Amino acid sequence: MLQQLTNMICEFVEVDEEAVKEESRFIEDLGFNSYDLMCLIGRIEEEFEIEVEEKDVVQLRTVKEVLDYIQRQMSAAGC
Amino acid sequence: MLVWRRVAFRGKLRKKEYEQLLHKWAWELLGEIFSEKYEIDMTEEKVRKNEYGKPYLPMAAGLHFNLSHCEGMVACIISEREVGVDVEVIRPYCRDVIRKVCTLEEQEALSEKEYIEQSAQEVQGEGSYTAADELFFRLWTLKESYIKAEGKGLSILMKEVSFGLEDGKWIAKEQKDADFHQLKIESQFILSWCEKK
Repeated sequence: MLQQLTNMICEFVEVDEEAVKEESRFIEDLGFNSYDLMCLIGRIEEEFEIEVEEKDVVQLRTVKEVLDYIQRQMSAAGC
Repeated sequence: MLVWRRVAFRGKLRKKEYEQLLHKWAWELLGEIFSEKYEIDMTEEKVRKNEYGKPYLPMAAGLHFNLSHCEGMVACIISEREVGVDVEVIRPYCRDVIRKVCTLEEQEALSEKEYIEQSAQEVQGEGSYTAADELFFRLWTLKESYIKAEGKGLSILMKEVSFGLEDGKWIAKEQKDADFHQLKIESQFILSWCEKK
């Protein structure tokens, strides 16, 4: 899952794969802006077939936080 | 007072490096305006941030400011009211983002524009973007400008900042506590700003 997410991140912000670590912060470390972040969230929903609540977006600051969120949503949906 | 400045496009720079440059250029522009128009010697070190990360300048009591940048442009605004500004270069927008940020009415307006363009098999926008792309960034920057004026980050949901079409103009439906303005610059950029009442 980390690899899948890493590929999506690299697509958006054109960083090297090695630059994407679990503790990387989207805005400060990876160069995301708010538009990139919302696009990524939309792509994650499609790719992982989950729903990301808009109110939760503010809490998704790092790659790890997004990974944990995806896992929680997938478990809740019985995936 | 609203000021914008054209800056270099990204060229071969990496996105993060370019974002850092845009950030620097935007703060330089803000510093120039504070110095020339308000005789305030402002540097980024003197700036503080509220709990949501919105910057403010303790030495300029009563003045609010905000900054924005996108590829090719930086903008800043200074006002006695709470303000937010957002600039975007008009480009093909990411379809996956619509349901996250647009209300049903806004989504329908975007679909309609796309449908008309597909039926006519022609692009109604200018250059490298369509009329739907332009509408999307008109809505996006209006929403962002309000969220930035509020200064509470993404704790305000973009869908809650909603707009409806009245007499050919997009009018805020819920946010009656603010004045919205918008400019299209050089057929490439959409600049929106919002001042709280």
